[in-house]
Amino acid sequence: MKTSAVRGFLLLLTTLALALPLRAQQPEPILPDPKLTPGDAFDATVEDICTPGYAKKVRNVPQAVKEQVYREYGITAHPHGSYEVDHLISLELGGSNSIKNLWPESYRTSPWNARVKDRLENKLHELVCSGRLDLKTAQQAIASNWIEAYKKYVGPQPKALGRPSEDERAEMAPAAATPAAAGQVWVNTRSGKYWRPGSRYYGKTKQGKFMTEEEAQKQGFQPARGTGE
Amino acid sequence: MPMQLNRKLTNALKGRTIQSESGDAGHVVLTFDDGSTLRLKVAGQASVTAGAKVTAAHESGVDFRLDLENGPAVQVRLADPGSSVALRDKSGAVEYLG
Repeated sequence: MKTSAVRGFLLLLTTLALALPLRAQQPEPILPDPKLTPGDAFDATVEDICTPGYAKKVRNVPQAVKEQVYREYGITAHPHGSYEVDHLISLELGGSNSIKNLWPESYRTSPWNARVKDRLENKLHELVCSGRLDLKTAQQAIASNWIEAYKKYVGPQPKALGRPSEDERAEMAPAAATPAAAGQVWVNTRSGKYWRPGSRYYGKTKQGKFMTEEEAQKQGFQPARGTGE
Repeated sequence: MPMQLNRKLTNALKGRTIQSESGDAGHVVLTFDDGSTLRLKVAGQASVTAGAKVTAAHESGVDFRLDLENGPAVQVRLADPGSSVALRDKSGAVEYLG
């Protein structure tokens, strides 16, 4: 019994010793390879991408394609939470699901990583939908060098590893910092669904804002799970 | 290897009847009985049976197929998988892009 426990412990140590260098050797690009991932966009208009729920209608990357992306970038191990297969031109900016628009983006690199790029995507979407930035310009900016685009449109280098700063959190969800007026619903602007007060995701989704139910319906948002509760 | 069911597109298209087909070099455009249109960027030709009802959409890599209730399936090779299929409703709003 004692011997088998020692053997088990040694086996565990050996496994860890073999696994750690494997993980350390995995490429962790912070910018995509322009030959593999030049970026690609649908024939989508500003009206299309600014319609609530748009991204949900177009998100469709089969697992086989994701595996192909990892292979092309030489990544043989991608444990859960280490990478995302990211759309270089985000779906919210009209990016396509073509492999030319996909790359493995690390969550672990610092300070530039997948979470930081999400902030840029949200900012560019907001600028395009408010008419302050041309869609093609936004697509070109994020496709040519997303880090430079971040510096230009969001701000200087992000401070924390993976976690947004106070300013950046406010940037990501400005409305979430604003308390809801009585009776307002919480609209998840990414999914196109809204939640009523007291429901599980009320005020809690990554992207969203408070508004009256009437306004939400006028803008085409639907109650989540059919009832918003 | 059998083609994978494209669930999202199948859910959108199932039950619609192809009313007409048009297109030019590199494109096929199917118009359905509800006024919606499916635009495909293709490499090659497609033979389409008007009046047939869609039952499912399948896709694997460049291969794309619409199964029809009556008549042979619509089968094409996509020009660029992930960026070649556009379904819009009669008002032009996006129903599916992929």
